[in-house]
Amino acid sequence: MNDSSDFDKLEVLLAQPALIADRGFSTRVEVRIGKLNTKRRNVFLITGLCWLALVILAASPQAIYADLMTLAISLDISSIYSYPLEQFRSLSGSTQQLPLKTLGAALLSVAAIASMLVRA
Amino acid sequence: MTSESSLILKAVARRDNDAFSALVRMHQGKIRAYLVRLCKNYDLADDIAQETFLTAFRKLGSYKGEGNFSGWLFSIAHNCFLQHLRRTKRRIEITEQYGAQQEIYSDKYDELSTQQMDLEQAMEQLNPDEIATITLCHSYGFSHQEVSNILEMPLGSVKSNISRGKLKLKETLNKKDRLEKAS
Repeated sequence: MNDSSDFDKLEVLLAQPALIADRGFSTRVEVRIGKLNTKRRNVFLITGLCWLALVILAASPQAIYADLMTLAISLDISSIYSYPLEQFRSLSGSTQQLPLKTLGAALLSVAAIASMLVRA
Repeated sequence: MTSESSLILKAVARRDNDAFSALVRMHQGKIRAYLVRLCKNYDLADDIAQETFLTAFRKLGSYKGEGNFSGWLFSIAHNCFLQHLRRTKRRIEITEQYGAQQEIYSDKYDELSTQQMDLEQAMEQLNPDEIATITLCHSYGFSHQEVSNILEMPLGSVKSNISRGKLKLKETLNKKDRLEKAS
């Protein structure tokens, strides 16, 4: 057998690659992708909560209280949530700044940015 | 639009799990066979193949539709394989541990003729670059330039790896042929 026919045979053989059978492989990948999506959702949720807390910390408590009151009145739920609202009122009425505001804001910023980096 | 293109569109634009799963089912046979040739170990190849598809899912947003989807997957698979080698620093050990002793299990494949089994065994004599270039070019039909892009290897190296690898394969298969005829 000459060299060129050997190569032809080899080319034909190479062009018919054997493929690995699935045997549940795709299902295992699907399950892992499902878990990955759950993780992504959790990361988004944490990021969102961090930003919300950050906004609350950064904004003036009086303005937040006013907004919450408007919302509560419009939904007529102020009686249900009167206790937490009273608590918030006493906090927002205080002339003192929140002692850990800066540190809290910094930590939440770091958490939010880290969450986004993890997502990326 | 072909069914694969519409699945890619759905998976990329909407991050549709079902569409991506269909793409996994469509491509897993080739990707795993490619990795089995490189790793010379079925379990390790499966782990890297899973990592390949998860990475592809994470990076779907970066797929711009340039080149074909299959080439993009092979590129990720090859990078995962190289990462594994770097991470474990076991390139030589893997070759030594599995290279000579690897058995070809026909039940792992959809179909495996005697000739294909001989070819898979002969592939074990090749180094990873020769395996990668020959498999992508001759088994999966990519052009030399496409293989060069997938493997991030100069075009000249792709061509020399292919010709060197084919020579080795031819010699190994001929030797086996002669031994069978003699016995």
